[in-house]
Amino acid sequence: MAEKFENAKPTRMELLKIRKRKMLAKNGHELLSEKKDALINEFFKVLDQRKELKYELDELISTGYRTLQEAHMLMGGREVKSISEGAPKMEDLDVVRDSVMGVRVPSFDVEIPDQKFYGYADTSVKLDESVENFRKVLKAALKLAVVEGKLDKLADEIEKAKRRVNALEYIYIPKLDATITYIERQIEEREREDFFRRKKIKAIMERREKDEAS
Amino acid sequence: MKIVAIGGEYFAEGFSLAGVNESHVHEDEHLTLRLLTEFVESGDVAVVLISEDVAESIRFELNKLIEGKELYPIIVELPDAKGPIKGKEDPLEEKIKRAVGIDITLKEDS
Repeated sequence: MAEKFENAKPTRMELLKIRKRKMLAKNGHELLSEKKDALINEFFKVLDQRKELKYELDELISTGYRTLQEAHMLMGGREVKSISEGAPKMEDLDVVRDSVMGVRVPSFDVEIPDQKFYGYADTSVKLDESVENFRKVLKAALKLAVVEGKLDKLADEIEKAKRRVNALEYIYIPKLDATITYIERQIEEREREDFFRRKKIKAIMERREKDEAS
Repeated sequence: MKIVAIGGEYFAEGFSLAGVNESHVHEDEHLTLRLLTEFVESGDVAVVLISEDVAESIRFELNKLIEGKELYPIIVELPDAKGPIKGKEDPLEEKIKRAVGIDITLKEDS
């Protein structure tokens, strides 16, 4: 049996109050565990997405590396490096607010540059391919980033919800229960005392009446 | 917000070609960690693309760095030019375990 609340006063008012609190706690518990289940559901959905994306990305990135290596061989590392340094940078991301069931999750719009930024004359077609491939990789990687960020936040939220559900279920509600029984017993005890006292008084009074009569 | 990449030469170069805002070649752990700390503290970096082997070499510090972070930056680990590391532990696995309470292994065969 759990401990009762330390400062519980054994009165009827308090009993009513605590009963109300228990109702509230029970409702809260139900709602929270529903929320937790929904979050877990969502978590698994996103987890599947991530698996697919990761698989796709692994493929893309290995082709990317292959073409880049070929470009290196055809044009020389230094040349490729200097071209890569002159590549146009993407615009700063716009971060969008997004939420899944009240959980803030990351989300953003991306625009990956798609213009040519070097002369055709002395570059290899392999360089074009690598640029193309790495743009694809970047796109997929950002998608993966959003998904991973989402998973991270969802996991945190699930943990929180779980802790709350458990606290209600194993600590708060049993405590309320214990307090309710404690107060009920105290009140009963007081009633018995009262009853006994009344009986005693009645006996005394009757005896007095008898004494006066005699 | 920005997107940055840290990794081996091919890694950094590839993403630089694709147009990430900043791309750094990993030289040694100290430098990389300093860069990462800067990224986390600046609050202006949305995504850090890091190659697996680099992430693996600074795993402990990395975990400490991103512990209790806000939404951003998101650290994404990608395979290096040598290909994905076999049998590497998924950094999200720990999270999954704690959240769901069961162990899920992500394998390609299914």
